[in-house]
Amino acid sequence: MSEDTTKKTVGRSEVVGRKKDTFLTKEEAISQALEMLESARHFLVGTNAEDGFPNIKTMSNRGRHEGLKTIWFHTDASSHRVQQLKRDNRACVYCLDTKLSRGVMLVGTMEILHDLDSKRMIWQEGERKYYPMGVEDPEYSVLRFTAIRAGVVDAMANKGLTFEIE
Amino acid sequence: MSGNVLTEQEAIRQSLKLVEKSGFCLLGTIADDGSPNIKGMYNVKHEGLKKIWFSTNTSSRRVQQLRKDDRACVYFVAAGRPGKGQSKGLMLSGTVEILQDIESRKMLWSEGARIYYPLGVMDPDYCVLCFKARTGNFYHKLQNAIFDIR
Repeated sequence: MSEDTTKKTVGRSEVVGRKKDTFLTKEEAISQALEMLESARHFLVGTNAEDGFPNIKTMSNRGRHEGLKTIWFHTDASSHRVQQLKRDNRACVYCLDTKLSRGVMLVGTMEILHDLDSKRMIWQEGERKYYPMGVEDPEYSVLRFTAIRAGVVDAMANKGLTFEIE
Repeated sequence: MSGNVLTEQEAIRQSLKLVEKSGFCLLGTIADDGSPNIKGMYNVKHEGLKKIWFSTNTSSRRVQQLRKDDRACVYFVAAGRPGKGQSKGLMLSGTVEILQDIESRKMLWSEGARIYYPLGVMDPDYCVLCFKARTGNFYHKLQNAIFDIR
């Protein structure tokens, strides 16, 4: 397995790289980030594992968010992810659009919710095959991500912006 | 839904297949404030599941972060289309070494890279990241397997 797998590279491996000194306006950055949040089918969610190493997992976009500040996800109460977040609630949500060469990373914290209102908000009837008790199944849980900071990169324009989220 | 257990051999075989066909992957690192960070990176060179190389600017924030904390993960994903089977994913956990020796520099260098590094292959702002995996976690459908990388 040590064969040479080098593919053509242009010197920087970042899929959406940019110069450090050219910026998007905050309005442009927010609007690009919102577009991606709405169109993405999946997000990549980063957490800190028990051993202190970063972890990444795909989580599906339930189409539930409030601006860039709050995003709701579905998970299982017994999942490894929930155990990690109980220990360390810091997380990031990343979204990459390879066609438009844009990327957004939101950094913040993740809360585990078990209340029925939150569960109802993201419940999809097709999930009954996995949760025989339906939306009230104790295994069906909700994660609420709250962002404190956003980083947006528009590689085609060679611009980006990092900003705080109020 | 903790899932069934794949055999280690089968998980490694499928992991290699996923890495071979992935055009890009996600690099997870730890920021100065301790929060996890993710960046999309082209999958340019790898040695089995053991090592993955990237090139970037030495002055980048990512490199500054990795100097302080070399713990990282590299994630490969083949997302399933809705109703067409479920996604496959591989997360490799390990550490990143920042390399600036001539051999490593030449390994990923191409002349087109001069637009980023005007001084060429020896430009001090050019560096190579070598991710070394320790463990792998492969999942497909509701099955998953965690294995050591040797």
